[in-house]
Amino acid sequence: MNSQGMRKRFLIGFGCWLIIGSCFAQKKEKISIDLQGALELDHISYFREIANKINTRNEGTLVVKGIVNFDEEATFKTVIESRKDLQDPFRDRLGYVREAYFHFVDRKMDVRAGKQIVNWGTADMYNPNNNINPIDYTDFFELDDNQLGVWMFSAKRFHKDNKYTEVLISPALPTLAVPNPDSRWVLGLPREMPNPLEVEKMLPIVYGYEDLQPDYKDVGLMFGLRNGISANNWDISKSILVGTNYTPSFANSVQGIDSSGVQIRLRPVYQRLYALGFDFATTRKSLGIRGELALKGLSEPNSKKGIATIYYEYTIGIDRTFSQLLFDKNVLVILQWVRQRVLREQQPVDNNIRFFLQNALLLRTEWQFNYYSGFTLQTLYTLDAQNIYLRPSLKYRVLDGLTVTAQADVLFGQPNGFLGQYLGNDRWQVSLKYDF
Amino acid sequence: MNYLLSIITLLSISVFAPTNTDKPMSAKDIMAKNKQLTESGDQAVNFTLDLINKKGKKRRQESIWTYLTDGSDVRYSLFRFHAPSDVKGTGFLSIEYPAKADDRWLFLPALGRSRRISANEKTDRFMGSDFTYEDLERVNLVDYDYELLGEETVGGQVCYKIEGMPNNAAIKKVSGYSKRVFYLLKDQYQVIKIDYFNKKGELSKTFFGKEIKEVAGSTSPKIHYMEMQNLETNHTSIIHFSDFKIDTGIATDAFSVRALEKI
Repeated sequence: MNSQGMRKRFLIGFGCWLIIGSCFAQKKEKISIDLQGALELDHISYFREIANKINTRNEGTLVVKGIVNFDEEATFKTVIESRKDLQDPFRDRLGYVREAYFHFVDRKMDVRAGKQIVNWGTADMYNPNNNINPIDYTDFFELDDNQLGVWMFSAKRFHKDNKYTEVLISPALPTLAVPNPDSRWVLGLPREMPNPLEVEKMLPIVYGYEDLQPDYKDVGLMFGLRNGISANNWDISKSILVGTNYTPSFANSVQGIDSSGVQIRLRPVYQRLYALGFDFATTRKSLGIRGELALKGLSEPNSKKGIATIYYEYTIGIDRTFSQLLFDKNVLVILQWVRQRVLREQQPVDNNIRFFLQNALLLRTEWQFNYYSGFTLQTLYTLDAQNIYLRPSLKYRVLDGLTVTAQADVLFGQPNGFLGQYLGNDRWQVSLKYDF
Repeated sequence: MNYLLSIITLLSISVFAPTNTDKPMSAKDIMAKNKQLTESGDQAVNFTLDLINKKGKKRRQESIWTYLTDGSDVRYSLFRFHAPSDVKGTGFLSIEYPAKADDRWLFLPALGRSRRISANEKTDRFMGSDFTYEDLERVNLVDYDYELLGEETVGGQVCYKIEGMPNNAAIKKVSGYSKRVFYLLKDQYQVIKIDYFNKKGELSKTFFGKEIKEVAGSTSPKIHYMEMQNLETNHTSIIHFSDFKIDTGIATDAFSVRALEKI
């Protein structure tokens, strides 16, 4: 069956499921609707401009979240996002459905059907086991709300003694969210090439993407299984996932050439992902301790066959909360160590986005001065490549729900490794957000 | 995290006369009576916290708080925040065991999953308020010496005046106070005022409990208004309780990570 046919069948089946679920729920006649959301305005400027690149951002985002409670047993949730970037059309989204799913609750089981975001793993900043949803890579340093929903069916069964089993299956093929070829995060693309007919003359190159939609012959159904337990001050789980690798990778293909220039299309490379995972979280007095381990394999590019890449990742982190928990004077410090070891890989590893951490320390410090203002510093230090990334962020609550944030992304260190390619991409950002 | 339960336990007492009118009750007896009368099973209540700074500027947090104490003295508590809008959906679950470390999880909607968190210090402020975790935790009477200082009128009502001081080094070390002075309504055993003295022996905070009203399903009236005045910072915190649901049969399942993450 081709991907379009499969997709159509899935969507029809899913629509039926939603209608049946809705009818079932409406019988109870206890419907309540809750609407909330946020409006955000963002400006970003890079300290140093680069010719032919997008050097600024002026963006508005409206997120509306709707929750319909039919009764205690059935809920529908949707999150719809509209985003407009005046400089970068790749970031535009109009009425994008981030999530839309029904949630049915039984005495011992939760069932969710629809477009959803599922988070696995317990680590705070980098989660080797969180591979279910694609990441919005239109901006590599955009860390907030960067997960994209996937149409899927998920179920969680609760057993005795705080044990649970979680299963998910998705026939949907989410596309990569990739940066504009003119983005500051796309490097190494020459802007002109010699004219084959007149070698002394240069032809400009225009880049674009081929169809980003994957095909079932390249990837396929995603399914995952997870078992976990909460006991004796520990949360522990183990998981297996067969899905899709969402870190962007591309091959070039020349689309056309004439006297005016060359059109090059970047062809996405999709790979099957196989992941075995383990994670835990515990507390010891005032310390939180969390860790994850994942063994991963990737298929041959654009093929479900073979294993081209094998690697494992592990992370251990400790955190300490000083003062109280929420809303007011508070200091939270999280320190995390990440290690990635590549056992088999055909491509160079050092500049590969997938292995950009390799041997890294991450530090996050949140300092809430009072109810109205706070400071956050995120730090990443790659021990081998010696890259340092800093994100200082100052937040001020003007009114309840209205927040202004000023922050910067700063990279320095050695020009090695994946992050070392982006030295000079330092930038500052101001945003105004209203939650309603 | 059943500190609030504890203070309500301490404060919400039904109208009972002393069991033995021939012999005057000791301070410890009065405190024990207070504790005995206010133990309850499960409860869900709307919880509004107003924080007022020294300039009179007020901000408000709204949540629903549910708690349960089971037969083995394990205490379950779940907070679900509704306001302000930027913390809406945040949840906080704690399970407090008598003889082992507590379980605590925080659910932040933006994170999309629960996060196990460590315990707080007794002296930490509860949700930015002038109540510390110590103010709100359940009191183990054996850890304190109580002395009846006499009777005193508070707000036109005659009260027992009782001084409570920690009697062992462990409590003295973790406590933020050198002593507390309780004012309990003589005819109801309700605590309507507490003076808190810091480690230097200075009066640092004063608590007032007001709006003592009957609640459907409860054998004892409940305090609907709690005010803590911080004399060191001139800051005041007020907790309003409303829409009590008492002993409705909430099961321990309602205090799970599953429940915490429910949309």
